[in-house]
Amino acid sequence: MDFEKKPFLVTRDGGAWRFTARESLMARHVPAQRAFLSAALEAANPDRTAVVLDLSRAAVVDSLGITLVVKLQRTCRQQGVGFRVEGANPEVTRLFKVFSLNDLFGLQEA
Amino acid sequence: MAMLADGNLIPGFVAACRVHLDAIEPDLRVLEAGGAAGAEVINRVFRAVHSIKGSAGFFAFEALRRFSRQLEGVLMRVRDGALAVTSPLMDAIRAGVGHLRAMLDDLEAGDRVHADAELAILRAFQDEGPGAPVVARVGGSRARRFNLASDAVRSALRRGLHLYHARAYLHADVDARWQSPLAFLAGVLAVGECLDAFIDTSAIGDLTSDGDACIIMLFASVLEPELLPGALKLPMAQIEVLNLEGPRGALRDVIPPPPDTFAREPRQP
Repeated sequence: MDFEKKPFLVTRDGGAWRFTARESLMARHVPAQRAFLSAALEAANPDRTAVVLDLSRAAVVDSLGITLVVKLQRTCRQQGVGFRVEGANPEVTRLFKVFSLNDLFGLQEA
Repeated sequence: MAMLADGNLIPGFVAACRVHLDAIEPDLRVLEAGGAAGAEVINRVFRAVHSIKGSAGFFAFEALRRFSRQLEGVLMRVRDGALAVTSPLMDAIRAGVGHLRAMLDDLEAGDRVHADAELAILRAFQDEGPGAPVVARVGGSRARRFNLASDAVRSALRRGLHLYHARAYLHADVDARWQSPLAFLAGVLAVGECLDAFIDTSAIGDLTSDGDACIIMLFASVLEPELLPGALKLPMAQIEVLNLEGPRGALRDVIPPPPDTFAREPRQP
């Protein structure tokens, strides 16, 4: 996959893998984002203890985006690694709160 | 696919709240004047604060919801005859309404501002809290429960509203028929009161699987059951009237005294 076209920037800090979305989690991006995450997390990795989804560059999260984040959380849970969302803008944070997803996503109050 | 982070709904929410507060100014003055106020006067004030509380909860303005809920609790006691309208009480209500305005003026900051002093004054007028929680379990033991004050259910019942349990699938319903989930919720608020709502994620698997998450609502509306599918743009099969006369799960049986639990059968998406 061409790095510049990768939907996520991946960085590591110890056992924490940070996936920074390059764009909004919207219908037109979600298939590629899902494929990328699925490939990246396909196998459990003993060195990976946590996954952080960084949404600081995601202006919008739509319905498919919500579902993608839930799937990512499920995958992390299956693999026994921690999961949290960081960097969400106020509107996206509000969206998660409205639907009571903040606990599931480990969202911290500002 | 419509965008979901629908920030332009917030100004409308704030404007609607201000309309509510402006509308009750004459009623507050009547109450402050100390004359005999009819039940409808206090009812109007109550309904305004109740509406603000419901909308604030929907839009996740937690401090605003919490404060308006406390004010609503005091107004409820006045409406029910448990509290007399006195000058100290009206001072507290007036201060409460003023604080609501201040929170609306600076909503983002207001959601973080503590109102301990104002809340303490309001609590002084309440011998008891806002009622034991009504807990309704949906989707089996793994699903999140509705959790709301029983007074909210009582209030809806007293006002003759129908209670509904409704499901809206994110992709099949919300994306297909509404601009976004928040637009869907705004549409819901236009025809009734959402007592609680959450997304049931139990049908969602990992990254390799498919599945459609579902918004689940406990909803009160004056609309008759046959009108609700059109208003909410949902199939009738996804809307269930909570029959208060039913032998199982009748809400009158789950409002305190305890146990205050409303258990429902697991539902298949």
